[in-house]
Amino acid sequence: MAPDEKALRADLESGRFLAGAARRRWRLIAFDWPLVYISVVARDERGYLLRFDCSGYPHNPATARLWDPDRNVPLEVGLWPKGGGRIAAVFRNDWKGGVALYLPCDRIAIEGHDNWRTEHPSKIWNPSSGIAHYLEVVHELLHCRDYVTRAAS
Amino acid sequence: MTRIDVFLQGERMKDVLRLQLEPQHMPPDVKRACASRLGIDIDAETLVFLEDDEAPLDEVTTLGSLDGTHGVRLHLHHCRRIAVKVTYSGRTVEHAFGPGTTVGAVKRRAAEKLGIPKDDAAELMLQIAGTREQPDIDMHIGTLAACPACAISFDLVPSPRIQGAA
Repeated sequence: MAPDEKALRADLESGRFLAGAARRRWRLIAFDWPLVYISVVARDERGYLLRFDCSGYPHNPATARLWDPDRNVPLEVGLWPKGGGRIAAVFRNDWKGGVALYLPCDRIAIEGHDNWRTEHPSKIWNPSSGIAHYLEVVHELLHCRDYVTRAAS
Repeated sequence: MTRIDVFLQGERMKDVLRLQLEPQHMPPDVKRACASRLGIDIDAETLVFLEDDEAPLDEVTTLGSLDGTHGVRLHLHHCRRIAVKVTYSGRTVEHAFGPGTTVGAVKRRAAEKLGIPKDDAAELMLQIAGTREQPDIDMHIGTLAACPACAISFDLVPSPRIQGAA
């Protein structure tokens, strides 16, 4: 097994990842190296599936996009998390075709955004925290005021 | 017999440690299992706390008797209380929490004392004073404050909106 796959498997068994899963903040759905599929639960209990590409893990940041588990294709935009402000700023289909979440901890999004390293240091990918940190960032976002719940939409 | 997932945090512990223990196990067993897994010494003065509880567990409490809805969440620390200050918009509130109190619980209490509505509080995060570190809501404050200081200060800051060139 390659070191990056081994490292990811270890992090998916880590206390931090499993504690979040036990709290039902996220759920591991499938593993197909270098892809891993994890559902993150929003404040209306809706789960949003993210497909992570973890090549080069953990030294290379992971990158994630919203995914449709039934059709095994990118999630159609109409089903993305709804909301203005912080939600609209991260779940962007007007940026690179929505290929990644617009977050400092994302491998694709960080490219060309060196300013984020000083503006958002707590949101930058950290190899020692790995995928659990990325999930914590998304979970916090899906619980913010800007997220429009199903009941409100 | 079904084993119980124990998620353990503690003073000077960098990561959450997951242990699988028996329902009849008690705090001394947790300390032994942790010491064995991490290859460290845990002295007799180390206390075991249930998450978000103010008082340490007594030594004969069984894991099976604790609420394990989300796994049993425990904390190891020498301090009985962590003195916490939270500053927001020039006002500071203080409270002494058990070290197994989560950052999320500290934020909720601080927001209440500061009179911040729940919706507005959802847009704020605790940031360790003098740093840019914003610990996750599930982190125990005892992980951030070691004995003998047993204290930590936070600023309550707006959750950042990510902006950048398209």
